[in-house]
Amino acid sequence: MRIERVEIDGFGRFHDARWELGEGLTVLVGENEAGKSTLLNAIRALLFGFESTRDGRTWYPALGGGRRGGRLVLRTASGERWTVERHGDRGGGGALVVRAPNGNQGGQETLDRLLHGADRDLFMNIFAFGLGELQAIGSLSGEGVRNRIYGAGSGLGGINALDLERRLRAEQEATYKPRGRDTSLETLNGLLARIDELHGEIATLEQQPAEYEAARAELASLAARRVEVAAERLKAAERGERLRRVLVAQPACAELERLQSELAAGDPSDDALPPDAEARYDRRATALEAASGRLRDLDARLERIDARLAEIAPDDRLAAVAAAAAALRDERAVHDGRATELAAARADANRHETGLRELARRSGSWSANELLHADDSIAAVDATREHERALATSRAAFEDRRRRRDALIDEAERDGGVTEREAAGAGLEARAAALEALVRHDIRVESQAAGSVPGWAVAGVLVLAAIGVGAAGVLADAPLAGLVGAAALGVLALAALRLLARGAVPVADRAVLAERAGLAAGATAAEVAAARDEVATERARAALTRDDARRREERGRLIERAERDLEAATAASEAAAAAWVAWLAHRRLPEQLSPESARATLALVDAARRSAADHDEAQRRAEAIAAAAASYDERLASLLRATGREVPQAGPPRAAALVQLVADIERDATLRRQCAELQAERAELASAREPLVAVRDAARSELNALLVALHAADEDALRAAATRAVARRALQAEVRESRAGLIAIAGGEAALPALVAQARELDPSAVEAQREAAQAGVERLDAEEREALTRAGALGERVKVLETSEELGRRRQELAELQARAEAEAHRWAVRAATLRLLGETRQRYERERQPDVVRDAERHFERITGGRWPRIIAPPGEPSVEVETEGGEVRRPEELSRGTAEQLYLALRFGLIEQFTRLAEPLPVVMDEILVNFDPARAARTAAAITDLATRHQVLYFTCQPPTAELLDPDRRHTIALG
Amino acid sequence: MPSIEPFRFLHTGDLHLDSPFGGLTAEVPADVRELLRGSSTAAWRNVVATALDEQVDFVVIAGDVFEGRSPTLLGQTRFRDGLAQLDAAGIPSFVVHGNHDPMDGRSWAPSLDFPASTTRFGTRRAESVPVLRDGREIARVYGQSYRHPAVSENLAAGFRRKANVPFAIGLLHANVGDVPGHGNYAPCSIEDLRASGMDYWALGHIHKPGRVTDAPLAIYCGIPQGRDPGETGPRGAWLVEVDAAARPTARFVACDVVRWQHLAASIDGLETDEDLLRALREGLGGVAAEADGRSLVVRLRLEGRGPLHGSLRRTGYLSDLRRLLNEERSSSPPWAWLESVSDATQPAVDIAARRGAPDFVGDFLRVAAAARRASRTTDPQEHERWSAALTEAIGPLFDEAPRGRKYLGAARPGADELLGALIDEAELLGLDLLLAAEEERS
Repeated sequence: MRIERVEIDGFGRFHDARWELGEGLTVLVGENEAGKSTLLNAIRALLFGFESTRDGRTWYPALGGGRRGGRLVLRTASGERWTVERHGDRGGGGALVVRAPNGNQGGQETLDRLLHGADRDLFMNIFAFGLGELQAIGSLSGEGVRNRIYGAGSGLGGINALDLERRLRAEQEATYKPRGRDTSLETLNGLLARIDELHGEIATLEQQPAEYEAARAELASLAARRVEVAAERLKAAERGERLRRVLVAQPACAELERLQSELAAGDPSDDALPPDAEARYDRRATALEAASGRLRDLDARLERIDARLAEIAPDDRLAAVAAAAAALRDERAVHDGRATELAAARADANRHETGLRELARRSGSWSANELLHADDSIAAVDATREHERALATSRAAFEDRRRRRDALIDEAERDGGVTEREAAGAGLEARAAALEALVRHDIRVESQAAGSVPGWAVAGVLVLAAIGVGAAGVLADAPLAGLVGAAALGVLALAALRLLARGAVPVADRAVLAERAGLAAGATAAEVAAARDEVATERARAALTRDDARRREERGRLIERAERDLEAATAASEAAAAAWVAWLAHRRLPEQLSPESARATLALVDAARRSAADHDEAQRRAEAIAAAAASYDERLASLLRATGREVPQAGPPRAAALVQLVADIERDATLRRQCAELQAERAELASAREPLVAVRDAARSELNALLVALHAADEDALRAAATRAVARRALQAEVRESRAGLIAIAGGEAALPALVAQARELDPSAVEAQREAAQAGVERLDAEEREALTRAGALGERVKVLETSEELGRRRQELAELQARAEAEAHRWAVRAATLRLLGETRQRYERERQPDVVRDAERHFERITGGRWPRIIAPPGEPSVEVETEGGEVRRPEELSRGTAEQLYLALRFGLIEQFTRLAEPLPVVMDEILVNFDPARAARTAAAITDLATRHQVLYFTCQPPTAELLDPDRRHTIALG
Repeated sequence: MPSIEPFRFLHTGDLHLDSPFGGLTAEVPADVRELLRGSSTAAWRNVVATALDEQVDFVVIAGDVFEGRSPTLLGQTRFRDGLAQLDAAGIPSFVVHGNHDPMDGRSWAPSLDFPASTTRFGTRRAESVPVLRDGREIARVYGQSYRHPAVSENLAAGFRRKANVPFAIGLLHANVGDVPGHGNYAPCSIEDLRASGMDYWALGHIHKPGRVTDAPLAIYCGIPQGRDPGETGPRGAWLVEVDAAARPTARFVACDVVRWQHLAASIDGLETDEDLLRALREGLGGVAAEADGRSLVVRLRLEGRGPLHGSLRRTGYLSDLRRLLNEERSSSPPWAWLESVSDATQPAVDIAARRGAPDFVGDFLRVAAAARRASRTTDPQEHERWSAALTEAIGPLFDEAPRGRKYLGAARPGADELLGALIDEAELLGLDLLLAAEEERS
């Protein structure tokens, strides 16, 4: 593969620069700063990426402008043209595009394939190098390069044995590193470390049974010790309690003694006084005081009654009139009503008098007196009724006659218009006859016109039918029936023939008949029928008119007679009226009165009489009331006078005086009652006084008797004695209590004497000291007990924990697992170690038996460049460097060679490597930068020949600033490009 | 034959109470660990429950109640609690001590109170204790405990049936016939068992339950709960019925709560990861279905040859596979937990052909073959060189590191293994790496 063209968009000083490069050798010559190194680095950068450090030498920013980067057009041995384009502002891969001949685009992988796995290291150290790389020994000892020496040797089949070994070793180290401190359980170091730890932990945990036994033993001894402690504690507590009792008893004993001596100092006779002596005395004194008090109360009441009686003085006059006054007071309401009653009676009298006068006025002509004395007897009344009947009868007769006459006259007048219609009905009968004839005529004509079969035909048919029927009857063996049927049909036929003969009327007669009937000659049947109905009506009306005439004659006669009857009735009526007027005049009554009115006037007479009687009655009542009122006033006046009071005038003043009097009488009566009650009470009190005096005297005697019984001179003495007795009893109670307290302290009566004796004998402070010591002992034992309990509890817990502890089991499980894993890992490790050893052995054998081709090729170049001075290169297996041997067998290490010779050795090795690489893959371009500067002219010329030789198989780009070098490489300058 | 009162008893032993669950080579989820850790005591509870359910007349316990010199107190407490439960139900118990819990005064907490009906046999001679039912002797238990862990005397030889014993039971922790792989403690022969006159031998020591002989019937009770990858399958106790003719018949009753299960799966014919997962799910489902409701700790071994081999060899693939399958594990028992996945598959290449090829891989295979061939006798120098080289290779971990020396002694490859199995594995690993590199380059 060769670089056909270099295009730089921007890199260092280059901007938009192009170089076309040919096959074989191209010498790029230029002065310093012409851009040789820049171009070399640009090619490196385009193939493998930009330098990642800004050390200034290899960074190459696009100083001349343009986008940093560019492209290489590569042509493979098979003639394919690829483009590698790379741009980037920073270090690293930048933006890489690899274009295949078919236009496909790829990236780094494509480029890697294109370069046959040559990486940056390999390329920079072997294919593109300057003087700097040539001089550095390390540049050939790099892994990538060294691996090429062994890995690229023939017979390896592409296998990189060193790489395999390295990988295996890395795996080894990942699993286990001697003295490694990895703690991950994924590594043997970690596993072994944990196993180590676990052994320690397990050893500790295996002490658990011993701990368990110790704990159980300690628990047992603790239990035993607790029994002892309990006994000791009991003893100490008892002793402490005894001492405590003594201590408590000491003040109690002293108190008891004091009380007892105090009691002895008192008077025992005071004990004789009963405890209730004072109470008894008090009860009797209270009784005496109560009796005396009651007596005092009674006397005071008597005194009050007497004083009250002295105050009261009743008036006897008042008592004397009390009944009369009460009667008057009771009558008072009646008396007050009399004025009203009197007024009412008088009003009644007036009303009745007025009524009488009104009746007289209603009678029309009579005065009151005449009215009261008029004849209203039954006979008079009957007379009016007689007159009334007569008047009515005559009047009714007159009315009846007149009505009958008028009715007849009216009837006659109504019948008067009917007579004229009689003449109009004269020709009616003739017309009716004509109409009947006309109708008959029409019926006949119609029946002839209606039949489509002529009459003779009908008759003929009937005759033939009669013959047929007869024949049929004969033939059908029913000769009789046949004959009868034929005869009947024959009769019918004959009748029909007769009818035919009669119906023959001439049609011309009908016009005559119509004229007679008052119709047009061609009048229709309907017109004939209507005329017929009209004529019938007219004929009926004419019959009625004939009856009316007869009735009028009769009526004329009746009217005459009615006139006569009317006259007679009028006369009778007038006679009856005259008789009535005469009756009225007789009684001085107005003549226009009807009998009925007259009866009404007579009825007033009785009413007048009743009014007069009522008036008289009211008059009498008024007089009686006035008399009673006067009597009442008089009686009251006499009472007032009798009681020595003034008599005010009658009416309200006197009534008020009565009220006052009645009130005074009542007050006086009350005083009298009070007086009586007081006197009764006084008598009662006076009778009760004596027993009270007796009671008081008895109480006094009892009190005195008590004092005597209690041997007390008086109350004071008694009370003093009682006080002393109480004090003694209290003292005695205290003594008892104190003793009981001591018994309680002693814990029983039996223990009392000993306790009292100790309390008396022992020194309290010594007892206290002993008690405290005993108490301290108890507390110490309690503490020991608590401690033992706590300890036993803890031990119990621990025992439980130990019995159920899974720790040891877990650790052992973990150990077993880790041990198994470690062993498995160790086995794998051992297999890898053995594999490594086999691989190493194989490689050594390979290197020993067959020196790598690289070294053989390098040897050839080195010998040629040095003119045969150094014919042999040795590459010790696995060593990072080489050694050289002179013709004489002298072995030197590179650092022992001169600088130029060493550079020639490295150049030779590179040539060997390049050729080696080319055996496996397509030749890559070789780029050299001023490598001949340290070579002497002879070796430089031989090297130039070697380069030219290399250029027959590889594209070689040689950079130099030395025109002689350029000339040496390309004498005719056909392959020289000048830079700058 | 005289008629006796029929009875039944439970034969257990090797309880190894509260001892760790071993052989777990990967990190264990908390719930799994909890179940595994408590499995030995849980199994003991099941033994006690079986005795109660079956209403046995007594229980015999054939030693190794505890794992070691310093049993956990929890284990002892649980043991005592179980015996107390039996006692409360009127079931006496008989205990001998074995090599793991000898009566040396250190293995058992002396102050732990055992129920009155528990008999612990002494160490000096075979003792006998009658088992009474309503005051009548129905059987007699003979037993002797270990005085110290490594008893080399033939204790069985000291067991002698007395006359007039209705049924004699020998209770002993012993290795009958020197079963390989087990400590040869109290060694004895079947002939010794016969000579004792016992009607039944209740033996302990060998953890795999099984019959030693039928005449007389002698049975290893086995451990009631398997605790390491070697103890697979059902584990439990024996219910022994003795009929009126004094004929014992034993029935095994599983008492375990979790079982070890080895599962081998071949990658032959599998093409993709999905194929593999499907096959493994099927395999796991199959063993789970046969686990009698127990949880399973599954150790998976991938075998065969096929394209998947390369994937399996990728770093992290197996652990991912394990994690993936374990994520499907039931959250509550019974579950099947994949403890480890080991890869014993072969690459799909002709190794012999590659060994003859003149390239680096060929060189490598030839070097490995040479190392393997370096026999001590035929080529002592080469043998010595390789031994030294490999010893030096593993030295930093196993010999130079104090902790490696201290804790990895059991894992350190022995002299034979160095030039044998280790070389085999290293060759396979190296070959895989080289082939992968080849593949990567091409």
